[in-house]
Amino acid sequence: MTDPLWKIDDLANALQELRLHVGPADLQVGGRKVNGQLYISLANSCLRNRAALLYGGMGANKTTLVNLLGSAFTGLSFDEVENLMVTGHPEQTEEKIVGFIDPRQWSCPEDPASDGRRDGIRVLWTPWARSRWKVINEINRFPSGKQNLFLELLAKRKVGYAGETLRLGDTCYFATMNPDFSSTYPLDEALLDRISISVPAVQPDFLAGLALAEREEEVSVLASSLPRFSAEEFDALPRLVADVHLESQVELSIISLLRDFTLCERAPSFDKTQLSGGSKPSRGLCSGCHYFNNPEACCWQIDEGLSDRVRQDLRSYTRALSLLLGLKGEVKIEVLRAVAPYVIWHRVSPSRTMLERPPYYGARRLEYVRDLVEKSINRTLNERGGMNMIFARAVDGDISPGEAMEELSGYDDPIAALDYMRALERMV
Amino acid sequence: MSLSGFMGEAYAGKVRGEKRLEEKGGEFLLGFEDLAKRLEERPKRAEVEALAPRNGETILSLVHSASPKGRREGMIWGILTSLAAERLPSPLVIQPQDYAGLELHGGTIILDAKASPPWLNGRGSDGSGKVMGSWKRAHHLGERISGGRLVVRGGAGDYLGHEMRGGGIVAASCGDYAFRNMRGGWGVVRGDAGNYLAVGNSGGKVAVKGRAGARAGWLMRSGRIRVGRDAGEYLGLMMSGGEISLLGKAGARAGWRMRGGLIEAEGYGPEAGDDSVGGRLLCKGYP
Repeated sequence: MTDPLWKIDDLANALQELRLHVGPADLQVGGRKVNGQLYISLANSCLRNRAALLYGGMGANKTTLVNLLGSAFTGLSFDEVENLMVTGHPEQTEEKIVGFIDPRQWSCPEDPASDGRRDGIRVLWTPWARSRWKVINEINRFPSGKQNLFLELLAKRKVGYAGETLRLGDTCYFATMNPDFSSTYPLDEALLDRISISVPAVQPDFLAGLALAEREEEVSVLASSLPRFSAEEFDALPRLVADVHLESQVELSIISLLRDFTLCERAPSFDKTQLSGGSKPSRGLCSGCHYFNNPEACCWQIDEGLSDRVRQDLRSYTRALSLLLGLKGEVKIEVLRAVAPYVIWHRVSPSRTMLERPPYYGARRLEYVRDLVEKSINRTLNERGGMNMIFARAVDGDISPGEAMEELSGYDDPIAALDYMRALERMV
Repeated sequence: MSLSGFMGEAYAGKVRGEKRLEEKGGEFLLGFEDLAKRLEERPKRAEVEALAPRNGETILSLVHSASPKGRREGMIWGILTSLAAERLPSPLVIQPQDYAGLELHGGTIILDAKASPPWLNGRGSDGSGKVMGSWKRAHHLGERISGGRLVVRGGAGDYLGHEMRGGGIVAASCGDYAFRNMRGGWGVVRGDAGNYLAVGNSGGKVAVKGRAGARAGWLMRSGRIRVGRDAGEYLGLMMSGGEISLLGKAGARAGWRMRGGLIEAEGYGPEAGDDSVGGRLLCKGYP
């Protein structure tokens, strides 16, 4: 077996050289710049049971890229992978997506070997349901009710039909979405939270257009010359990712990032995920709050808190991208900085007033979230050292909780004030 | 692994001792109006200090850009001038305005009609019709100061150095109620003082080069007043301690109902020392 990582490098190069995917190097990791759409899709291919959403207008090479990757990783031809894909439209039905009851079981005589017993109903699962590479094209064109099917799929890792269940096993999930098409439906928040990462796909710019003009043959023909992965190599990828070690610095930054977005002095249990209806930061929840209008604090700038799934996703994708880019040691914090905005931005809605203030992020929500992530990580690495050490010493019993509370009272930080203080109060 | 070990590894021994946020302090402010809006009806120095920027230069630009309206905003502006003076390396030179130098703890403030904001580059007018250089008598200057110096290059209005506890004030002249309830520090008036000079003082020193108005040193308990020329009627009324000395003459009823302390003057008007139960009136003119 060749090293799957070399093969991934080959694949990335081949996609560029065959002009199958040309995109700007918009994802900066440390000193290296790569194409975000391609590398995040590759990272998702190295993981299992995570869903990546490619978000962008038409002709941005979302579906084609995913199918090309599918063809390379699963070893199927491009046409076969294209046939596997499920495309959203309002009339799409569960039968067509998942499977249907096998009508033959009532017309054919019973198998004598079954001894008259029939175990439930036989269901013919669709190739899509059985495959380990699941692409949901234009997920936003499924009506909200039908979107719940995917919610169930992603949450339970199994699918049920007519009382039968099919275990999906370790699968790669991809979804694409074009926000501009007619007959689109809003994506449910619960479904968005199950989508692990979302990457904007952009139209080819001038240079990319020139490069694409050099592509002479059909995509399906060129696809056959891409490197192929054997099943063994494909299955080895998640294990390689799992072996990547994350430093304490990265783990700490991830937890602090989550708390920065989630903590709220005014929400029940200080947890913003429990807010409902009219009581949101954008609806005036924060007016007069101590942290309100403080640009260093993230809590008031975002309506939603982050779930624990975000923590898992941040860890997985940081590992996967570190592996893909061959980064080791201290640079992993840079990987986290690069990946975190993509993991978070589709799950939250930023405060409108902040988007309309200088430097005018406007519709560039990803940039805004990137800014918040940057602030939170920098704060954790630079400002929070003192308070974290005090808290750690108190937890380890080196100093009494009372002493620690007194020292921490000088720190003006949501995590110190809401998380650490309450934990210390319980310890007293 | 213990949590300390985890944190120690995360920071790799590079924990910064001081807290940058506290040092930087202050809130994100959009201007003086924004600051005033966030404070309560009766702003305290500590509250203004918590919200104001830490950097003296930044406070100074806030001071210059402000146009305080009413007593509350005036007091906030005054506290800001004190904060700026304490933090700037050189004396703060500004236009006289009510409440300048409120609760000053250190540094020097010079109130000068010719002072202009730095962006005018010494020009006389900012184009809005506000002419620099004309002296406006401002009230409540140097109230409650406990340190530092306040120099008023012109006449101060009423309540100069009210309730001061330390530091020093120099003014060309002053209005009524100057140095009232003073507990420490010193004040120098190079011209005349108005009525009710140094009422209810329990410490500190006041020197007036010119005349003092009526009822100077009323209810004084301790401290010292020196007046270069004459004083009005009821000098040292009901005083119970301290020392008043005049180089000129006192008006009628000096030391009326006084219970202690000392008044010294060149001469006294009628009914001096009536109803007094203690204290002394000395007459330098007629030993």
